[in-house]
Amino acid sequence: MRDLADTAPIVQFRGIDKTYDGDVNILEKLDLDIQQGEFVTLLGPSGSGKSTLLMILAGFEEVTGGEVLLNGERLNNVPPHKRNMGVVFQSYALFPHMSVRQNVAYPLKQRGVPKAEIDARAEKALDMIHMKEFGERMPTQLSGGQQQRVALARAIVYQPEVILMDEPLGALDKKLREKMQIEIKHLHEQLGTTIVFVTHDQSEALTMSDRIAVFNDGKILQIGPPSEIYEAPNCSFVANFIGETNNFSGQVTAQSGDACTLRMANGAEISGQNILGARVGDAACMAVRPEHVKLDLEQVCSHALKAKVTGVIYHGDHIRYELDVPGARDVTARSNAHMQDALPEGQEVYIHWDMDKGRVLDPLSGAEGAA
Amino acid sequence: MSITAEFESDSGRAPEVSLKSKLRRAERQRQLKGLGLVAPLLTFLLVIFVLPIVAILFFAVSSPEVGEALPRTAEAIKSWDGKDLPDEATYRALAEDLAEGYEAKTVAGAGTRLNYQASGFRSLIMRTARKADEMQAPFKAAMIDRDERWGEIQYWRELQRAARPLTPLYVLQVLDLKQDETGAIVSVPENRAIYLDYLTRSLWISASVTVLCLLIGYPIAYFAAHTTSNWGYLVLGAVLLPFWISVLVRTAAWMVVLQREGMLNDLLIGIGLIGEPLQLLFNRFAVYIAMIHVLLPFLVMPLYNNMRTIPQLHLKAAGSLGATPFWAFWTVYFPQSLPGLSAGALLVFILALGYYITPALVGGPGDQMLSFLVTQFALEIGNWGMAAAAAGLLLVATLVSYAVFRLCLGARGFM
Amino acid sequence: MANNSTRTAQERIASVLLKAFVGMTCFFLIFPILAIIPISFSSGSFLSYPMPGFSLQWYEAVLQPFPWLETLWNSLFIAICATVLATTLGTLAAYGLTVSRFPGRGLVIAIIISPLIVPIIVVALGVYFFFARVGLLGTFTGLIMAHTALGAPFVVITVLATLQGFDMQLVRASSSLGAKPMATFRQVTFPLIAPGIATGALFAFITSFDEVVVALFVASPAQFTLPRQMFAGLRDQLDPSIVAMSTLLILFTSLILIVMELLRRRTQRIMGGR
Repeated sequence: MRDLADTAPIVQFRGIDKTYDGDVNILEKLDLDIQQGEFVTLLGPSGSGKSTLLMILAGFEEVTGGEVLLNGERLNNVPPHKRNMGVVFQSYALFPHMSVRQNVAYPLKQRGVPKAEIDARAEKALDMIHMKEFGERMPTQLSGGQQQRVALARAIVYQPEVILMDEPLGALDKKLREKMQIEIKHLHEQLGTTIVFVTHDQSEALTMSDRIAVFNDGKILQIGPPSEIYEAPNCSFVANFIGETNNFSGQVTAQSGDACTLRMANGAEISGQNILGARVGDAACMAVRPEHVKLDLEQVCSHALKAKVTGVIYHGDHIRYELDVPGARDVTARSNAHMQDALPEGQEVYIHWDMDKGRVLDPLSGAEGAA
Repeated sequence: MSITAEFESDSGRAPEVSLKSKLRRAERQRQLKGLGLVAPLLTFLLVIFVLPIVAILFFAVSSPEVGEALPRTAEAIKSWDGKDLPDEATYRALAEDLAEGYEAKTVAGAGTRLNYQASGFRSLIMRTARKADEMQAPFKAAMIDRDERWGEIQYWRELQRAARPLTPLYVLQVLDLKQDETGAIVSVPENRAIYLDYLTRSLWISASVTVLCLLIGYPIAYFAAHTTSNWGYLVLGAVLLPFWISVLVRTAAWMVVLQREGMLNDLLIGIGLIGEPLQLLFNRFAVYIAMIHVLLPFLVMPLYNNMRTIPQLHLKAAGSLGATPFWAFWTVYFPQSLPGLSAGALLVFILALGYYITPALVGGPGDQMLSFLVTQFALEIGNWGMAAAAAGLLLVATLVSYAVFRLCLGARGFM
Repeated sequence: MANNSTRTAQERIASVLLKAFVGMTCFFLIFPILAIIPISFSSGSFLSYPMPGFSLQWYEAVLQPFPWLETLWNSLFIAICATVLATTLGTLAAYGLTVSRFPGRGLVIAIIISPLIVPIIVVALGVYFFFARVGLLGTFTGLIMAHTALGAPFVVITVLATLQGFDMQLVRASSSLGAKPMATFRQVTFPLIAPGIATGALFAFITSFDEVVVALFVASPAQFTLPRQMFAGLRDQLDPSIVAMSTLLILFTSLILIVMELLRRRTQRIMGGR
């Protein structure tokens, strides 16, 4: 992550409210600052409001309340064509009646750039995305990945202050998606432009972003660098939405300093970090990443839980155990052991984890439990 | 079903048959099957539809009447050089033909046909035929004695032309042209040049109606295609309902609304705009109103279907790329709506070109189009040659318009 | 037209103008049709408002056997026969055009749809010449055949479109499950394309039922159709019985439209809402 602390934010959302019908809030009192040159990802399930926020920034949606600032100036009533932002849409929105080159030249034409310069800049943009030979093709003659590149070129060719990407890789297959993630990342490094990227794919967010803002129900639950979001989720939703998590629900029975103890439904007790300052008697849920779950044939420590291996799945670089743990559901563990050393199905084991790897968060709501 | 069936039947064959020839045979069988299914309709249309239209083109240039009614004359005059009056043998042939034709009552048709060629010819033929059986040799003198016009070389020239099995007469006439005495093609005098007006009027009315439909239909289709409310369906219904209602019912409705005592006049008088009722029917205004009402759906439907496939997102994208709303519409949306626009315009223009009912009912004498000319010649006058020529002209105008639309605008038309 | 985007004042004005224009045009389209309905119940014999009183006399006049009911039956008989013929021939042809791409397919399609392009008056005149030769002038057979030729292209177009949306995998699946070709057509293909066929048939029916010009040329008084009779009436004198008949036809057409809409929904449901 870059050091951005002392520069003024390029984009500021202040107290954004958005509703379509006056009843349901799509966005609620939302604040977000985006720094110059930053790659910020808005991550969340569909309907969480992340795309709406992007569309507000682009000028396609009006806010119900609050204000949007670009370089400190209010954007609220500025129409899209005067905002100077590059938008890459999920469906690319390439104009089908124009060639690749005409598509890329389009924004320059709107800005009255001289013809010769248009040609040169379009050519350079096409070169940057390795599409130089395809200038005369029509969009329909391109593959999905190629269309994606053209859409990118069209959004960067006029050097907008901010580039907005709305699930730009959603329509591509997995391999291509991963390739494009890296290319976009390189492009960001080359151009140094601020990028606001919307996705519901957590691995995409983790690989590409300087910062991730996790959305749910119109609010930003947590914002921070990818490693922080993954390793130190501040609520059950974030813990479950990003990466895999084992949830152990229970009631807080003891609390001391940073740590606390949770009693599960079946009476077993486990300990972990008290992230949200839960007090004795509170319902809570402990989140533990599968790679932090250790398996032993004997009880090596007092707070280990008894479990039984119900499934062994080979993943190549690791093995995944599905475990039946009394008092908890769908517990899994990751092990880097070789297959020949794997535990057999039906094996009785004890599971435990380091104290700081168990994070005691808010209790699960129904939906999150299923996620 | 076909694929599986054929593969099964082929799999039992001798193994020496190469894969390629198997494929060819399978493909041939499929083609035969397809052709077999299409054949009944194709044959039907060839007989009921294509053949008659070819017949029209033939009738527009055919001239059987004189040859049939006066066969000996037609034969005798074929080799006449047209310099001096024909020889005695030709006069004799005509006298005999007229005598027989008068008996058989076939001579009147030939007279009518000859009258197209030169006015007065019919009475000349009938007058001569009545006394033809009394004529004696020398026939030349006898006939000139009966009517001295038989001594004028001009009438014989016209007779020679009309006796040929094919004639350019009708086609020329419908284009306001004629053959002069020497056979050269010249324009008819201005006061008799009345038919080409029907063609230019047809083209003009069709073009105007098409442009008006475009101006009215584009916003309608745009609204129906892109509104998020249920109003879109209502608007579409409003466009489609008239489409399904009988043209006669709609025309009757406009006649009720536009007549002297009609609602529009009542309304205009009621709000004090006019003192006396206006003549709103039987003029070009009524023709335009009624034709637009009938043809608007043909423009809106293809346009609407086209517009529905244009993502509104493209306008947003153009906006984000710096285009003003109008410019985004003009550079991004409008070009994408052109296929539907040209398809609709093609439909409207071609349908308008062949319009008969509406102008016949709500137009005045000066608002009639080519179709009117066809019915007039066919049903009122009985000049089938001219009817065929006018129909042929209309057909050619239609096909040329169709080709122009397709080549210049890339309109895809019906399919 | 998302009404939530950031819009300039010009855009708002444009939107209001568009709506006003659309409203006016819809009024122009619907108004004359609705305006004549009340007049058909007039007790007077003039077609103008205000009406002197309410009466069903014009409906009585229209429901007399001669000329109205007789021409109505003629129209229905001719339209139904022409529809059956056009639908059968058209469906077969559309199926044939779908299953194989034989040489000259483009030309065949051009011939099949040409009745839609060729002006009706040209068809009428040609048919007149032809029927005069073969003795079909002034016969029901002749009129039915001419109307079949006019209606068949609609059937071909709608059924072709339906077949394009039809998943040919289903045919393979059916034969893989042991159905013979005919059984596959009867039990799988036909039920799925039936709504398309029905739409085409309705087009063919309306085409025949509304046709004047060919009837003008080839029908003798015994075959006068309803539109032919109305045309004669309108040329002669606009009287309220025509308006009464028009009202009945508007009702009839609306009924057909409702049937079509129901069919369309059914197709959409089966074909997965395309």
